[in-house]
Amino acid sequence: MRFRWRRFSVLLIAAVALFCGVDAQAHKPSDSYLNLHVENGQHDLQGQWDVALRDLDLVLTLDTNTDNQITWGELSPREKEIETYVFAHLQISADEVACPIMPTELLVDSHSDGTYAVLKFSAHCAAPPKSPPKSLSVHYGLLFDLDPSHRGLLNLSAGAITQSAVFAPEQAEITFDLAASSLWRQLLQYIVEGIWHIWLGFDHILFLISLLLPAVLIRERGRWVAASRLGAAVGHVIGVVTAFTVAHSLTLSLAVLGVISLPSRLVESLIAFSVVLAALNNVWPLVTRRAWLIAFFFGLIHGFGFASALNDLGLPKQALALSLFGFNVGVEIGQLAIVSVVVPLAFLLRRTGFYRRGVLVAGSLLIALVALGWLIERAFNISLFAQL
Amino acid sequence: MQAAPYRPASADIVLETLPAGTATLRTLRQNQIAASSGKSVSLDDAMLIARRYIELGQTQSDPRYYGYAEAALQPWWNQPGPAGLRVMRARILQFRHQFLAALAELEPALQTDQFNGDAWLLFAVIEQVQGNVSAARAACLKVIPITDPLVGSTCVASVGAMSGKAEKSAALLQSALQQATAADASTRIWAWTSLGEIQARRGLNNDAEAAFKQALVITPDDVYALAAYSDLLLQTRRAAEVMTLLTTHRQADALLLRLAIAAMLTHDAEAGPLRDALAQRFNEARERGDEAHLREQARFTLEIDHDAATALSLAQKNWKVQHEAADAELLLAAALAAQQPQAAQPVLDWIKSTGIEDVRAAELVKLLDAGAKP
Repeated sequence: MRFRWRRFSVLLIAAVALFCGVDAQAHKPSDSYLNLHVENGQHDLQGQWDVALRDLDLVLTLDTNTDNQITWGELSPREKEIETYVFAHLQISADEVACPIMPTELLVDSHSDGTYAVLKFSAHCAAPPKSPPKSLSVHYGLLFDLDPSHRGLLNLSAGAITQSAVFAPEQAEITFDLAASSLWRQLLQYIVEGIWHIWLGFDHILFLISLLLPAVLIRERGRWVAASRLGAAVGHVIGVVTAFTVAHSLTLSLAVLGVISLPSRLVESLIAFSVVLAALNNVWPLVTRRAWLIAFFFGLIHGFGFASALNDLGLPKQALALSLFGFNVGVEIGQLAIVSVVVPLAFLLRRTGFYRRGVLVAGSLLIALVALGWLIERAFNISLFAQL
Repeated sequence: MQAAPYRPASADIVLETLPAGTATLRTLRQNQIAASSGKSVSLDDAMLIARRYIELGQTQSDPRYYGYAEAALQPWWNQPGPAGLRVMRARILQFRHQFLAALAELEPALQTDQFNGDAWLLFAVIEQVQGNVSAARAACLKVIPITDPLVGSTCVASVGAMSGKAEKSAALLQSALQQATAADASTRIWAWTSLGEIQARRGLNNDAEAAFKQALVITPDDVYALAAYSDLLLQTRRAAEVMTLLTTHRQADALLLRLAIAAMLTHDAEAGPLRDALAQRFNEARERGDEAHLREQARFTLEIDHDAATALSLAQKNWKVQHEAADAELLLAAALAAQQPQAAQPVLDWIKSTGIEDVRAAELVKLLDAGAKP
């Protein structure tokens, strides 16, 4: 139900009559899009500011012939005037020294609610020549006097890090830390997320363990023989881990960049299926010498699983590469930690019957059983373990 | 939609079509500035201008006008002020779904002016949106003696239909509409649309359609009536008709959403572009920190993107803010799709406590029950 302003209904009807024209554009609150880019160690920054023509018209009456249309012929001669107006409402300073703004070009672009003037500019921050600026302050005051619900959406990329912020009447000035430490902080955050993901994701761990368990043994004429040298076992492990890493890095990147996407239920089911297969392969070996092939093939699937975890964290648009890299590094660290615990233990125990029957066979069967449960849960979208 | 910035090839390329009436508004504003000639504008003049903008914002469903109205009232925005000013601020806040802030404006307004029909009506609307049926009914009863009978009847009937009196409410509205041929257009559209919604919830689809059509005869591009009628058509598997109905109405998110759903259901070539346009709008709203579109976004995520888990969390977030029949249906449908019947519990409790009659909600509850006991 909607409120009707009935006391002023006469005006209302007049207004309805005025507005029966149809325009194809969306209605949304007024926003401008301000992009600033500063290269690492540079003093100059490049900027692009998209401001709605409809908003500029409010102040500058761009529709000179009042036909309710703004043409390029009406817009382009006003370039200087537009630049003078908008840049009077934007101040940038680096380490508290003002950076004078130089407009470079006027273009246009369309957003969901219409066409925007695109103002390209550069700003020269004359900080002391010996060091690049450590902080950047932006003061934004466009249109707030005419529309307090106007917002300035800022995207600042400094080298590999991206920060975004929203300017509002009550938040007209924002200061950004450009120091390299923030880059490290962000990278570190994603590394930690990557480590957590592999440690909390039992399916990845069990898959890896299933592939590693037979690494300390060699299959000869249908029987398991203990590997005599650690070197042979390590070679096997390196093959498996490298194949798994290459494969999941590949699909993780492709999925995060939006090149490929698979439904998450399918991915999660296939991951469970991969654990079942890898574990059963230890009980009834089919693939022994080329375990890296299994690792590679299913690594592709596990990569999609990592991608959905990473997407759930909410990725910064511009620092995608950094976060992707950090997350991947985290996953590898987590994975190496598991390898460095499992492989030496397995190597020490490899000659015992406990290892061959208790760990390799019974352990793999147990893993297969758990993973089968996951597979059923995920494929049929039911909850088995919740009831236990 | 957002391509790379470009330089138009020739001077006569039209870049933007301004809303009709822009020139009139500009004159209005310039006159205001000229009249003040350095002095500050009087509150009465400012309220006149703000009122004009709010009316435009309402008919156009265009948030920019509400911003202009706020700007006109800026010097008085944080001051107590007379009841009329408070109601206006409440109206702006309500549009932005800041319901509690809006009520906080209305309460003192009603203390100083207890016969302010606008304030009582807005109060009733906000309480109703939040699902507070008894508070809404009490406010409607205050509206009746001080405004046009059709306004009071519509207020009472909409609330009554939420509390187990759908049939009586519909009858009340029908007779009020018959007697109120002289009521103004905006009130009649509101009454017809409310009647249509009540009949649709009762499962009387033909009666509902007739009511929506009556509303659209009065103003063919009324956003609210178009949205309600489109929902009826979508529920009765008449998506192709929605395509025709809404093809020239896509400015408001609510209508674009219904058009996109219809395009998807009819396998229209526009389905993909419409989906992307909506996704971009929700993205832009999120970037600016705007949460006024949760209902639309949840429905988009559920019905177009088929992402039940995300849709459920959006529908739950929306339920925290809004408690109308549409919000209830949305949360039920999302809980069903996500196979999380327990998530629907707050809605089930609400349906029980209000006694609302809603065939679609009832159908969803039945499906949820069947799923919960296999």
